[in-house]
Amino acid sequence: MSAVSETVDQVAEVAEQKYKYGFVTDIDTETAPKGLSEDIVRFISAKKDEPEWLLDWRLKAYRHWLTMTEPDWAKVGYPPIDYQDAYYYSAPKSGDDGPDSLEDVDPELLRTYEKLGIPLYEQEVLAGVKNVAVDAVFDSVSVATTFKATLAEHGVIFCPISEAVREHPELVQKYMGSVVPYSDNYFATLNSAVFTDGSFVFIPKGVRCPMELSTYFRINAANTGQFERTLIIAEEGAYVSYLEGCTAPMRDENQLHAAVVELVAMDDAEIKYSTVQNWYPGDENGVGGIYNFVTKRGACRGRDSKISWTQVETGSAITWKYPSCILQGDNSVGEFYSVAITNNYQQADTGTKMIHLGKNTSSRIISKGISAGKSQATYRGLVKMMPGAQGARNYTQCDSLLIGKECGAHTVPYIESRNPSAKVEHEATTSKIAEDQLFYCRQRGLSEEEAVALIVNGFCREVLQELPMEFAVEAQKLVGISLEGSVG
Amino acid sequence: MSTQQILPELSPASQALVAMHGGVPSGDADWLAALRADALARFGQTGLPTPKLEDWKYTDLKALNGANLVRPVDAPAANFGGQAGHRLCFADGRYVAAASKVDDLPGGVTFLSLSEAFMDMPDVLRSHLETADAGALADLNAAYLDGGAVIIVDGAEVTLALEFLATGEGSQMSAFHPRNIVIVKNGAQLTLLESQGGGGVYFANHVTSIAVEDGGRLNHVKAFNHSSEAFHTSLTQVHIGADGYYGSAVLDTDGKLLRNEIRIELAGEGAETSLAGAYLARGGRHTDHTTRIDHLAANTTSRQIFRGALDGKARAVFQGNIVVAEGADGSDGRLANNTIMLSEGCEIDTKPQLEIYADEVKCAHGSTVGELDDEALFYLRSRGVPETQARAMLVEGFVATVFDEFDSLEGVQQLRDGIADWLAGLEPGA
Repeated sequence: MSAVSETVDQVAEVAEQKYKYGFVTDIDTETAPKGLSEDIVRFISAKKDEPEWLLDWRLKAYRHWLTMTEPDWAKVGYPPIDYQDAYYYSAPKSGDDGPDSLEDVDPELLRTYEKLGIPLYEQEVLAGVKNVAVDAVFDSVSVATTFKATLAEHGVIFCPISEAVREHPELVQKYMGSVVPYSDNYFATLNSAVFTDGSFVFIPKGVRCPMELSTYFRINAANTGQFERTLIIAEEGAYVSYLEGCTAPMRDENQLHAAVVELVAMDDAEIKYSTVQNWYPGDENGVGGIYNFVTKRGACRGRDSKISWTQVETGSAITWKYPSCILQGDNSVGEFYSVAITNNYQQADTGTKMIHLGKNTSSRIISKGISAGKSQATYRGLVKMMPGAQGARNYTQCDSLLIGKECGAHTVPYIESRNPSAKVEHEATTSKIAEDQLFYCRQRGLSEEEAVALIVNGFCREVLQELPMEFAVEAQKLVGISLEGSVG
Repeated sequence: MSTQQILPELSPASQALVAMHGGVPSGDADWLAALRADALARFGQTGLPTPKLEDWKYTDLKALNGANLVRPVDAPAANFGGQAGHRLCFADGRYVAAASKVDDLPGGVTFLSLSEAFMDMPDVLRSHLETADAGALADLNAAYLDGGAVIIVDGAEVTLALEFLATGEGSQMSAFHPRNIVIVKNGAQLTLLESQGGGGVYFANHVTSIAVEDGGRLNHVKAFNHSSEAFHTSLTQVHIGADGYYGSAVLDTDGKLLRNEIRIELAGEGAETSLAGAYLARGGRHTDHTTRIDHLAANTTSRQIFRGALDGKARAVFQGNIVVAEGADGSDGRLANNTIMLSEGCEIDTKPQLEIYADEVKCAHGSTVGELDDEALFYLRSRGVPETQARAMLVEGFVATVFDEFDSLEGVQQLRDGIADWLAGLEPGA
């Protein structure tokens, strides 16, 4: 009965707190002037003390961005974004460029992360427990990275991307933009011009990363866009499991988050990328919240490589995100496990793209969408079998669950096959929670809300069990919290 | 009628289609002339659909740009296959009275050509001819309205046939735009057998508007057997009232480019529809089956099954959308699309969609793409069946099942024969 008591706990928790990460940290920040221009791009680049080639790359992206138009094909609606009415750089003020160790970090900041459930200190101290190395990104800059020393022993590089630009320019230059080119799409191009920080991970040949790596993103300052860029490279035979979490304060205006994540897996390498996305979703009337317009793509370059995306999407006013795999190496594997929950006025248009190029490549897509309140959730996915994808396989399962009469759930899969030996299977269902399941739970003494949380957790189980153990519990709680107020 | 101002960005084919409007005969009633002019004006704004439109993502009409588009000559000679029973025959979209048979119609059945109906029942037609929201090809159709059938069945049970034959020859591509209007009144039952085919080069742009009123039943059996040089687009719009039923069985085996689009509105409680389609393509054929079903009322049901086989460098597109409107509780929608690829170089693009705005629903779709099962093939070969024949048997077994539900209808055997005919042309596998 532990699942039930767990559910009861979380419902009780819900009664007191709606969005518990909605606080604002009062901290001195340094911001660039409002608006977007070549000068701002140069300002960001200068702030980061970047080499010439990177500034050129940013400017190339910015100039290209000016020629692009915002995409409107996603099933989401929002008023036009004024790109001049936002800050593109905001950093907690500190004496130097960045903190050298945790001791230098503003204590206020550390308390913030503690509130978020990421006690940076404790993790350094608590030896013996299976640990997680964390890179914490606050608005535009990375504020702290833990366990760097331990990781360095194994040759693993895990640092803010701005540091990687300084310390390992050859790696950054070689791989950045190789999966998501600067001209890829409107939001990725914007990111290429103004990205401020993010994580960089490099796992050398044959190394199995000894611990989970994690980045926690936090938007704190008002009117700030967050544009982080993450780059993960797993060399031949390497393995890494990486998790990102995101939160933001409750504010009435909408804030833009346009990130880019690039993954590169060489021969026999494996990257497991998990996301628990809990940006502020706006209030129950749809006011405020984060616009989460993110480009995530992984390239399985080597043979027998594997990239696995797992995402639990509960936050954001609008989510627009399609973590993808380019299965280039023969026998490479792509996976996408997703739970997307929308409530109140949230809108989510999310899914994946699996592009099969190599022989015997295989991909698996499991997507669970839950819509409640007045929200709209869309699964949008592409499975593409190119002529060379001899013997390739795809299996896709998309299930949507509707809670309430005013929400919507949509499924838009694209399947394109140009190889006769490739096999593609797609299945999708949409339904509401079965009356008999609800009745069964109610009859055994669960309230309607508890019953719904239990059933929804069961509905998502296939995906939740893919998460690293440390985060599965958090994700399960989020599922309950996100659906608060959706029944009864 | 003055030729509309041609916008510079229109494709050459779109411009040609606008320009030939000067040749539409005058003598229309005012309302009809206005309807044509409005439709032409709208088409002049948009031109032919392009892959920039989501609905046309995978089908490109740009090959029409190279064609020498003309209006068909007035009295083409045609040899009709001769459907038995009551029938209307059309050559290049024009009514051919001599080949048609409309005498001795049972009571309650109106069955006549569109041109006759313009005189007899303009009020009935007006609302059915409007195309304002139906897209560029429907506008193009309305601007020309070459010919077509008007069918009204009231309190009767009847089988009627429509035969469209194209006679295109030479290098000129005749463009014609037939329009059918079908109304099945309360409780009436109609089986409509439609065949389309012909030889030579042509662009046939059909639009069919169907209203199945409360309790009515319509079974629509369509065989497309166009010329291998032909472009064919077909839009069927169906509005179904309470407890009404529309069934559609389509076979498509030929034509250079074919688009068969079916839009259904399940508008009355308990309305039901069932769509079955088979597509077979070889050579450089392009075939596109697109459906949209709107569940607008409670307890409505839809079933769709589309299966196909592709050989050579053929390309098939399937797009199927099930939309359940707010309040359409108890909706039940199912869709399946399965395609077999027989050779390297062919392509299938499929997009089954669900758009759900109500919670008391059961909706599902499934889609598969793959090649013939090696083991099944081996089984047949090990029992002495030659390879090509074994492949044909497997494809037939796979595709022809879509028509099982319609087996009791006249005309369905013809579809099954059509599958067998196509398979007779199967070449040995690689």
